Amino acid sequence: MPAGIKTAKGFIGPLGDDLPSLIPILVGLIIFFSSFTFAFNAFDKRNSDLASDRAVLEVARVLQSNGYIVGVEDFERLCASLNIAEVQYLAGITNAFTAPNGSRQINPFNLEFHKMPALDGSRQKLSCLAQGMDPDFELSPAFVKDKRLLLKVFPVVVEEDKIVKPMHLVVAAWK
Amino acid sequence: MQRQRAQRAQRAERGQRGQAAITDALFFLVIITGLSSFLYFVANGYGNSVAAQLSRQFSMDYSTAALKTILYSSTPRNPNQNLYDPNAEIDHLLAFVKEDYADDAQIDLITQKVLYENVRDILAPIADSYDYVFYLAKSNVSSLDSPYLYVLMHFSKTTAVATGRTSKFTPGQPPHEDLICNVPLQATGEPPLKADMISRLINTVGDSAQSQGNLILMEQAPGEDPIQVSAFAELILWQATMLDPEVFNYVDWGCKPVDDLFSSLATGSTGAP
Repeated sequence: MPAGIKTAKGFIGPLGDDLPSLIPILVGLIIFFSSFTFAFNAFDKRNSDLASDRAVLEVARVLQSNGYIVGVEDFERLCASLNIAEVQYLAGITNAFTAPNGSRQINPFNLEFHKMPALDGSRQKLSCLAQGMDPDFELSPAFVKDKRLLLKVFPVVVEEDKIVKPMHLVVAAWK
Repeated sequence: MQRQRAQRAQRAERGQRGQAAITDALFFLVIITGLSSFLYFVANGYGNSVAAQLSRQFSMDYSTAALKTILYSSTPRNPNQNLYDPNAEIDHLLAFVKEDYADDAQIDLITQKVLYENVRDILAPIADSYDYVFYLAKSNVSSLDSPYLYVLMHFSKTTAVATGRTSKFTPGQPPHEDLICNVPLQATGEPPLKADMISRLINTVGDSAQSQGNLILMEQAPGEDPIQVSAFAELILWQATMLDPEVFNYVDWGCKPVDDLFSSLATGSTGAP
């Protein structure tokens, strides 16, 4: 390098000369990769939420079947046929809106499912839990604190003592 | 002298190169900023159409399930009893309605009340956020006659207050109202609701979910054999919205609040409205 250039005013070397232009390039790269990561996370979360929404509708569709529940055994058969891995769920039949003394509300943390006689004579709840869950499981606010809770309700009829009673299928699902 | 001139030219050239480099970098930053903004908006809007489709699917599923439940349900023969009463004589709700209609080609007030209570209870979980209309109608009726035998409407009452360029919506008192419509006019005795009026309303409410089930009713003129009449039950529900008063109003539709209409039953009257 000629000696005159080294002593030129403002010259701080081949890389140093480009230093001011490197700053906006680095800022641009940081902005790009940050927004790329944000978008990727947003897509991922949205896909996960949509998969959960679809899964809860699928749980409800299987448990409703043709909308006519014949008895405890019929409901248990529908429950056993469920093979949904995307969400955990607690579902059941309630007459909260249709019984004369019903509470006319659905509280996911205090779900009261309808009981009816099974073929063996015992009275059993029309409820269904995701595979592998504790049969005595109950939803609590602490349990769903860091989870996304989905609640869907659909009308069904339940045949009990040859009387066709309108009731509701409640599906509470979380991920 | 010549060497000094060459050095000056070289310095000027380096200065221009430095300016060009920083301008390129700023252009790069502008492009990156634009690209990042685009990514941000795409990420925020991603999945909205699928979510809307899932919401429509829920409405459709609910509507179908609700209509099936209405049509399958049982009801006590004595409307003062309930399905859980061990002494109640039970019949199918649809049989109860058909039997009533076969008497005089009308659905009596007491049967209308039984039907209303069933529909109200079945749709109760979504009644806060959805409006709906449930009706029984005859098929193949001339456009001059009203085909509707029973029309129940649940809608959200809203008041819009215009403030400058925006409108503010406030819930009415009560926030929802249940109406029985197509009540015959006192002046003419004719039911006012024509076949196209419900279609016109549905065209103004946005996305709606409709389910329909076919029925066979019996009619018998005095001294003649009974004849079968094709009819259908339809349930249409949509997310609660403000209804256009030009398309829907109490007078044109012959609507009465259920509480007013059924209050006469407490005094023992069971005649047609």
